[in-house]
Amino acid sequence: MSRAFPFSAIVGQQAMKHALEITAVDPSVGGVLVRGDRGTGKSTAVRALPGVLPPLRVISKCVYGCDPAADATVLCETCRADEAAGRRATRQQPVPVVDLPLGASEDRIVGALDLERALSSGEKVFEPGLLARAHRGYLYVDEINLLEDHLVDLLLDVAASGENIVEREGLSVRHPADFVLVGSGNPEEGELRPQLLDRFGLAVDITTPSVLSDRVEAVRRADAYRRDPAAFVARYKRKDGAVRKRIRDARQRLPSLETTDALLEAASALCLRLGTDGLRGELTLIRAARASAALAGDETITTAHLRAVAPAALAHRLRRDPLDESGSAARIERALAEQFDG
Amino acid sequence: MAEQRSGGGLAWGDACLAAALCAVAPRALGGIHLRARHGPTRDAWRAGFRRLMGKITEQRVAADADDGVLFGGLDIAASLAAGRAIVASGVLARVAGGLLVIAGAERCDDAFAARIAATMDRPVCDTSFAVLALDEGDNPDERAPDGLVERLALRVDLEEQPSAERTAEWPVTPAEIIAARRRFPAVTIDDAYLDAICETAAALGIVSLRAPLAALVTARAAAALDDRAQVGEADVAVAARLVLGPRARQYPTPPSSTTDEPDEPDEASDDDTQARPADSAPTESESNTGEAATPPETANATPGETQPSDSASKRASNADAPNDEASEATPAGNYSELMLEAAGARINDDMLAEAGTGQTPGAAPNARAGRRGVIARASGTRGRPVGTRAGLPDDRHRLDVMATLRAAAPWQTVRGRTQASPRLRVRADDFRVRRHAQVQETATLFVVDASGSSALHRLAETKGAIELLLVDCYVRRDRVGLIAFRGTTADTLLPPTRSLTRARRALAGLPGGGPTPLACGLDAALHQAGLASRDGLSPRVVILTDGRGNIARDGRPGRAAAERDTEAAARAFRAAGHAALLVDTSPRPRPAAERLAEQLGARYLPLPLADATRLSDAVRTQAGA
Repeated sequence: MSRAFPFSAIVGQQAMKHALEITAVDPSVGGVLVRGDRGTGKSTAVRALPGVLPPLRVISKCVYGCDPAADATVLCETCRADEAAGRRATRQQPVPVVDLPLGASEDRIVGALDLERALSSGEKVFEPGLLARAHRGYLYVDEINLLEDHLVDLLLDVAASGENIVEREGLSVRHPADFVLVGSGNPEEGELRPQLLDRFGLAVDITTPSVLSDRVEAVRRADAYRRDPAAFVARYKRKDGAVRKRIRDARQRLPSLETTDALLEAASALCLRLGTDGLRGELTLIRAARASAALAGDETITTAHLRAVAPAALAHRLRRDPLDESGSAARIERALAEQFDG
Repeated sequence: MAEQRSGGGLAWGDACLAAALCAVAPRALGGIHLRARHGPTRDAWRAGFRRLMGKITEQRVAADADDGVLFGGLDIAASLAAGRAIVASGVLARVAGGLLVIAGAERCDDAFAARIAATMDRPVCDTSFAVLALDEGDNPDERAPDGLVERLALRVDLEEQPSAERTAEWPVTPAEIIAARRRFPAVTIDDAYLDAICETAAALGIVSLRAPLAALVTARAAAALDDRAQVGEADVAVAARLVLGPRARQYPTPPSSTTDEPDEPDEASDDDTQARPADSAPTESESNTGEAATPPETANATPGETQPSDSASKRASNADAPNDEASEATPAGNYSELMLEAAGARINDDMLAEAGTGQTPGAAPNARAGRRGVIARASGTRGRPVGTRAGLPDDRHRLDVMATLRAAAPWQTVRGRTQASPRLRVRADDFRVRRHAQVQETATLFVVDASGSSALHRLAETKGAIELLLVDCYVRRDRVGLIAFRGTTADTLLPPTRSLTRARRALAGLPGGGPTPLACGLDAALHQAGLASRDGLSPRVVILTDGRGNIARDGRPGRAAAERDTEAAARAFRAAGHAALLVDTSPRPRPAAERLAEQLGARYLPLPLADATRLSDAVRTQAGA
């Protein structure tokens, strides 16, 4: 079992935890961007995810961890061939959460020629990169705002298409890479290009807890974890299990949730009012609201769900006057109040 | 008592104490950020530290080491010689459970720090290690990246010590360390102390929760060292001094009552920390964090004004909230007073300067780190590497060995490489060279005359114009820096950054009035432009002044001396050859400003009656944006 800091032991940071849970229920919501200072628990939350996500069933020998239940078209080449031959042993593994270190080369990310095999036996073999390892899981980029723009672009492209296509060094490889991109960064250290911002499904701003007792509790838990990780993880096992059950139930409930026309209209009206570009805003808003309703165990999606996810789904899509003092969160609150209360 | 172990000069005593604490719990503490120049003192300290650490693996790594060195990988040279793939293990794997020494940590880029940090964060305990970051930076701009320093609990600043001090006995023996290590896991801490630690961190404006956590572990290590089963007052004082003080982002007390202290941190803390006179009155401080947010010396001119009130008050409210209730109710109040005092002994202006200009909690001003590494590796060619292309290496193009081997690898069998003749067959058309992007990032430095003569009427306009230019810079992803001169000196309010938020804040807080130290302004501009170009940016300097300096470099008034100095500064600036634009902001264009532009080698732009928009338009066209 994973010995990472338990997800349920993180003090506060509801917005971030909720956003991550939403992507766990419905990965099609898109990536999550977490903005905040150092030492606020961004990395901890992401690395804790495998502990609360239901484990994956994968095809045993597959280097990409293909889904045995998936349609043949989204399998990797080896698995497709195996499938045709009728072989398929499966096993369980935790959801992968892959760390993409800042400054990783393109080779390491997309994969490259396996130099070892090429040198020793002259074989031309593809060595999968980090994207392959993140398949069906999460790819976490700390300080994404410091990553070269072309790499961020590449990551978002692959995340959106679910497929990694490598054409280089005489290799032509195409493999599934369906992952949720989680980026974190401190806007004070440089900002992400607006074009890239827009492509994250949800964006949340987090700060250190401002209440002393929360801070104390956070430090106490971190210390307890450090002194005896195994015991600490065991103590939160039930709570993590509860979160896992909630996510599993929500996944089952998700397909049965109806999106009413009234809700679609409300979402569109809100986006119109805020002047967001493109239709991504509406789409994400609806999907996130559905997932949120599913997590809450509700039978129908209401405007309350919409309101709850609106800041995370829209804050980073507003056309921004870079010199505007009032944050986008405030503008969304205003628009929400106008639309639903006024 | 731990306090008494730090005999000798305080800096040296604290350094020894830090070494001992780190030796007690190396991996729990993360390590030590050692800021010192190379020299006998540092050597003496390291020798002592090594003795205390005992027998552990020590790996040394240079700040510009790449992934191959850190994580291991194919050893190309060995592989070619042996004719088979030879995989070398990385430093981070070999150092497991030991001490990683990072040489030249001030030259680390963010990417390097991120990799070390990611490895340190990994939950598996037996691969973790402690880090000793040797930081030789000699100014606040030059230092190890925050991402790394954050994870190292202890910070040691060593100044050159007289040799008598150095040879003094170390206050702790290796045998004591071994005993303390055994005791460490069992040391407990009272909740009141834990509250006090968190409260103190908040009062000092420390945002990250890693700091109180590090302080907690330090206190426990101190207790273990002194053979106590429970953390006591002395231990939290030690933690405050060694961990929280160096991380402070603001003075816990109003600047007025501490102005004499920060200048001589060593002297001020020479007496026993607990016995210090209560002149730094921490209880009052808590309601005053707003004003205290200003490092009095770094923001040289009237600190109160340079502070953007919004950020300060926001932070103040953050810090206040817990403190108000704490000072009334909890017993932790007493301990946190004690800790604030202890921490105060270590706060000095350099540290606050490192924490940005003290304006933004959690902001890392070295947003331009990360460039250094890239440029260094590209040696010879300029710009950002953007992949490789086929071609023969020459003076301007460096061979990319990996890419070359990759190109050659698939053809080895075809080219007749066999077990019998395992020599690698590389042909000329396999060669790959690195390509570098030609386009350089621009850093636009605004040098603003905020003195009474020029700015009184025009400062608002100037600010407006700069804001408009900032928007342009944002669109182009330029970096923006801001230097202001008034009174007797010039201040770099903002080193080149890409963060518009910070640029705005710095600008909004820009005060006006006072005489014109033009020469200082030019010197500062030259210095910053030099730093920027060393980082691979192409600096562009926009000077907004009326060209009438009346303060000499030494800060004394007198127009004649001022003009002499201005001329000298201008000549130096011209010799450096940075692109510059001088905007004459006086109501009527004057020959003085035009002459200055000529001396600077800058373009001259008179703007007799410009409003913000026209000024911005003019600068944009003139500067060739």
